[in-house]
Amino acid sequence: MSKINFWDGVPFYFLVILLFIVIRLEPNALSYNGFNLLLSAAVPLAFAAMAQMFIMAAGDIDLGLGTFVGLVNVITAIVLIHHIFYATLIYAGMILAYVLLGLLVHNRQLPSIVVTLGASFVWLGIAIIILPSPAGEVPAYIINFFNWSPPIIPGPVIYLILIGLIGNFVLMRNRYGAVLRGSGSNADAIGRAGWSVAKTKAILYGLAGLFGILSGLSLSAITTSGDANNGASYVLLSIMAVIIGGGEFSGGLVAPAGAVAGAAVVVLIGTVLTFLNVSSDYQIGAQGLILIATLAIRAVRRFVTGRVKVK
Amino acid sequence: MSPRDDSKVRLRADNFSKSFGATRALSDVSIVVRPNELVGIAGHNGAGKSTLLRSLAGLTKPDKGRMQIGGNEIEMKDGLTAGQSRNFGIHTVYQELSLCPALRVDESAAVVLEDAKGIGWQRKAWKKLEAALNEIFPGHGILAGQKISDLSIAKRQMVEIASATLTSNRELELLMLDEPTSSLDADATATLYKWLRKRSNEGLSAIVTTHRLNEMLTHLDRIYVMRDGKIIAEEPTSALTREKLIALMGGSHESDSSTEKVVLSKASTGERDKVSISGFTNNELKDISLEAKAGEIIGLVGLEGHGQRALLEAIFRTATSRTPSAYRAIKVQGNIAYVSGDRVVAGIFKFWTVGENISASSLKVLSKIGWLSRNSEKKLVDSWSKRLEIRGAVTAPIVSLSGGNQQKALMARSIATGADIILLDDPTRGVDQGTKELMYAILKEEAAAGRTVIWYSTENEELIHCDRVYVLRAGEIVEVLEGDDRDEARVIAASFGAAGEN
Repeated sequence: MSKINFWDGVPFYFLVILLFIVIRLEPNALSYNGFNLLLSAAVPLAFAAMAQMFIMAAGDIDLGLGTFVGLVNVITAIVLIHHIFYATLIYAGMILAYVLLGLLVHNRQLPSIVVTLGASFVWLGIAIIILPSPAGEVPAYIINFFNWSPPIIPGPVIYLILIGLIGNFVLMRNRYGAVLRGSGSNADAIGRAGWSVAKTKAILYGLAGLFGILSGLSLSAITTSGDANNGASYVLLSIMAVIIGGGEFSGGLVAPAGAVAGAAVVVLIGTVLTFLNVSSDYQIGAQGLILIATLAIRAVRRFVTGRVKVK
Repeated sequence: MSPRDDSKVRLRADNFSKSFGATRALSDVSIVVRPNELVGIAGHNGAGKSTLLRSLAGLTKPDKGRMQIGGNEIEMKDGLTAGQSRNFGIHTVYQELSLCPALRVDESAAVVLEDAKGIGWQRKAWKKLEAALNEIFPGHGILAGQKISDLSIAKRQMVEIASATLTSNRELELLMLDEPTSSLDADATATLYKWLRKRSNEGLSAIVTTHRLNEMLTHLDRIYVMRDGKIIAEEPTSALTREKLIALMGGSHESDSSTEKVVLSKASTGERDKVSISGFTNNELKDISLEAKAGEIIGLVGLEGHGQRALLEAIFRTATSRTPSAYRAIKVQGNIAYVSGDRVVAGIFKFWTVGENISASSLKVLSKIGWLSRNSEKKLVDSWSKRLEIRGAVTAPIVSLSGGNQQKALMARSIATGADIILLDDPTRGVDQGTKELMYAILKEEAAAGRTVIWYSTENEELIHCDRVYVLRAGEIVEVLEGDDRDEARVIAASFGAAGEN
């Protein structure tokens, strides 16, 4: 049975603490609209965090995620509004490109950090060629979909929970998810057990591409227009979210629900700083501090549990 | 071998041969395993046991050989794959564990179990694994939700072995285990063999390779003895004793007893110890006492993994440590250089040229006020490349050199530093005979020039080049051999310890 222990809840403790601080600073935040505003920016980052999480589950890292999301935003603002069919084709092509990236990394044993960094410039270049300066119009149905306001529970909250559940289902509740995580942890063992390691890489990268698309779409619903530079910060923020959520770079060790909470934590830090009238220049620094705090807590955990191997 | 109807044979391998570059790992090896049989493969370091097992399992493709399973000829065109061997009911437990540290125990089991899918797949997998664990290792205490990385190595080995016995559709017919008990305690070892015997009575065959001679003699039916990649004997265990096994492997207790354990020191020449260890103990070594003087070549031998490398590391760490006496029991005089044998992992700078690899440790000497003198570097590199007869331009990337030449470059790097003490970690592993001869000659020259050489070797013929040989077993020095005692037979005998131990 799944043993959820105290330490797994760290990202959620951070989240609660931050929410508490926000509400103290701005009591109006404790309301339907309040939560709506607070968390709507967390949805695109949560999708991006999932995408990064799939890559980290493979034992790799994706430095191209930010500009990829930017490219999706551009397509959504320029193409989707006029040609739904072509736009969908392009999205599918972009997912396929991610699959090919994964196979390239696996087959040629290339470091993902280099390959995705290279890809990041490709995405950015394409986005700028299509849209040299901010313009375009995101279709209303996209905006409305992501700004859904159901009764009682704010839309963003529902989306965040859904994203967490889907991520959890794909990687943790599913047998093939164990195979996927295993491929990042000990690819040889997975291969020896009879599974195709190439297939696991293709699937993980494909999932990352898919969630990258979703991130771009949901981001577009917020920006309502296109800009090649949108989402550029998502690379580092998504890594932060995954790490805060309990994931590690060593491959196979990821926590989907935690990553979603991590995304919310990252976004809320910005909010707290705004409420404290701290310049947004300090935002990334504060987010970095939380990241360091997470790693420090992890070190404390290792010390406290004595890293005792079960004898 | 008595002629038998082939269909009664579970597995037959004929004339397996395999070379890794210059090393002949398997030479015309033929074995047969029948139902209800527990077969052992014994041999000293590098005899070919693991290579044979990996070839049978399909991990390594033999250069030559035929295989029959249950009387059916197997197409060896591309070698047997791991999945294929499972289809024939052959499961293997490898020496390097095949577990994913990031997964939980139940997930790990599900990865190898075909039918653990759908809803409740973790429970299905765990049920089967737990049943296997309970049967083979009662009282194991392993839980479904534990992460593999949190388990001790003993528990990991239990999970590995139990997982290997899990089957979905095909009955388990042959279980191959490579050093299965190396990390298990006495209890777990006992229950494992008990279970093996029970299953063998029901029809299972098993191949076990291990260094634990008593285990083999007590629990197995038949033993193949390997040496230098060949099978040199096959006997039922009833016809074998420990001494006979050791003798077959090349070991012998006989010696000129008057020189046993007498350490002929060179104190008479008035030289001082360069390395002096007295009663050193850490988590891998116990009560080590060793002396090495200037100009001596000291050998560390014994079964692999019995502390030789740990000892080299302890000496190196002491010599290079900034704190005055890192280990009080070890005293090192002079500077030290380390030649690694695992060149890919701990040796070559794979993106650099040969020259850069050779000069890497000497850069300080070659620099004046922080500025590297390219001329001096070139002179140094050229002279060492010539002396070690490295085949390959010094400007060539090091990875373009053969393994033997890479090893020579590594050696050059260390000796070029002019260090007083040279430590070598199995430097002739995977190296051709010609290169080996050259390396021995160089080491002898360096020793004659006053250097101290401490050398861990898994090839027992090399100890003839050593002035003194220390045999390690389970982290302790069990014998010190000098003069006429320095022969392979004594080393092999000492490696396996006294009759009372495993």
